[in-house]
Amino acid sequence: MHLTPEEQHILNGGEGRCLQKAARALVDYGRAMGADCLVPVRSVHLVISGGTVVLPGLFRILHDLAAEGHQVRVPTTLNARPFEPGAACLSDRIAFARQAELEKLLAVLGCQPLYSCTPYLNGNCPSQGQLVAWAESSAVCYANSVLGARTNPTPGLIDLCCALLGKTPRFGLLLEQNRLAGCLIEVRAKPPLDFSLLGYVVGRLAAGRIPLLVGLEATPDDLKNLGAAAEIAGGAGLLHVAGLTPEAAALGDQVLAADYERLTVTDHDLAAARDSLRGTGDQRPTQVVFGCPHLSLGEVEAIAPRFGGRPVKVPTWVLCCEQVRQALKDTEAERLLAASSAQVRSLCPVFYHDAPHLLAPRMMTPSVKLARHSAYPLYRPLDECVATALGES
Amino acid sequence: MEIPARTVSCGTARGRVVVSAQPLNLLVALKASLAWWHRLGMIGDADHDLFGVRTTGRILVLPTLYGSTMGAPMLLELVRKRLAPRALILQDAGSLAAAVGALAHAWLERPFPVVDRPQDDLWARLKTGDLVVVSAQPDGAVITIP
Repeated sequence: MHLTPEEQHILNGGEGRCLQKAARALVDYGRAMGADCLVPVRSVHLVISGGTVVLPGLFRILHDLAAEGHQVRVPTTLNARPFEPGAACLSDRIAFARQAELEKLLAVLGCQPLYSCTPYLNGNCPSQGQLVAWAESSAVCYANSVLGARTNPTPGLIDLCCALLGKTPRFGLLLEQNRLAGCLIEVRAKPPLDFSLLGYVVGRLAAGRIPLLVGLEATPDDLKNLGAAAEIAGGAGLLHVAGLTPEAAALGDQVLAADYERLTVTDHDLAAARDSLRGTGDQRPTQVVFGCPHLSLGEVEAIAPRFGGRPVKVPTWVLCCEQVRQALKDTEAERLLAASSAQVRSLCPVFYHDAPHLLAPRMMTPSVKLARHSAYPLYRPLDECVATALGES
Repeated sequence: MEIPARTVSCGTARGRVVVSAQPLNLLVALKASLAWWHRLGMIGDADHDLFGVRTTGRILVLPTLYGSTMGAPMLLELVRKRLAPRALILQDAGSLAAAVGALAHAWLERPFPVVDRPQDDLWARLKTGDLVVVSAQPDGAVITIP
């Protein structure tokens, strides 16, 4: 791997022992992935945002970095956190007893306290062609596919090393020739589509290849939900939609690799996937959750009237980033959700299944991603989730 | 017999293998394995054919690792606590396995051997419980089946 004199200086320990370790990890990682050099990035999005008690090794690294006085060298945002300050229940306080310590350490390292899985709606939005180093699979897929920025799915802690150096190894999706579609998936299902379910089916069909979807009408929000589910099913971090996503629109058929495979998705495939995701066991949810990934302003405004101000019978969360929540202030949507007692929160429900929660809630959700992470998978289409929340099913 | 492979992360290991032909979603697999003492080091993904299998001290043979980027710090913590597999043999290492190998070397100063692209169909040759030796050096790796 070719290194600049400055990078070699860091690698030799010229800027401290911790930065040397970060550079060592980044170079070894890059070499294993076939990178030829390190390249500067515009921003980093870190996945490390839960102060869980089961990762003491992570805290040791952060404390060492803070003690040596290192700071991130590019704008760095943070993934959604398990709860908001002052709003932790008892099991949160046990499982994430180190949350305040983690947030303080990340602030000392110079990270921006913007906690969301949708950084692109929350003050960190790269433009087409820009290189970034993001973690959080749904954000990676959105940045690559919808924004046309370039990032590999950056593993946790490697993302921190990238932030500390302001650089990332050049390989994979950073290179134009690796962004071509390996399969063409024709969507023959009738709208309205459940984009989370479709994403899950697409991810499974593509099986690690970049897909080009044809026959699809979708908004950026739809592609956010589609991409999140495709990634949980083993996605490649990028998907093209004919005529819609920037690279597919610019390249046309040229976005296809030479030896692409042709596949189709039908209503029958979607119904089969829906049945397989319904889960078994106790089907009564203790919580209904909308917003994995976090909802955009438009999505919150579309969900709010469905509640119509009627009170929810099952505790309900509507999740979005802080900027969207600020934009919701004094709107009709906010009034309707408040009248229904649906809580607008900015947290990550996936944490509830990663940590030793004694009373992990049984979450019903229209997000395949959240259901797939859940110990009690309760994926349901959006209409059914709303009806359950209102006690009408 | 000796099977050449590619070194992703250097180190040597000898142990019994746990084999699966199904790619592993790392975070889903490990989410419970750090939290509950009776599940330490155990595969916790009910949709995987290794569900409930303890991999501590074994050599894990899989097509690849995938899923959340948070999977890397989770597996690194298992390495730190000496609860991880002794080595990984993968068809395609992918970014998560490469990251854990690199991070273990740099931050823990401990080898975590990872090799991929074995020049033989290990999934046809090996079954869970077989003994192998993995030797991953900078110039290439060798998987030995004694």
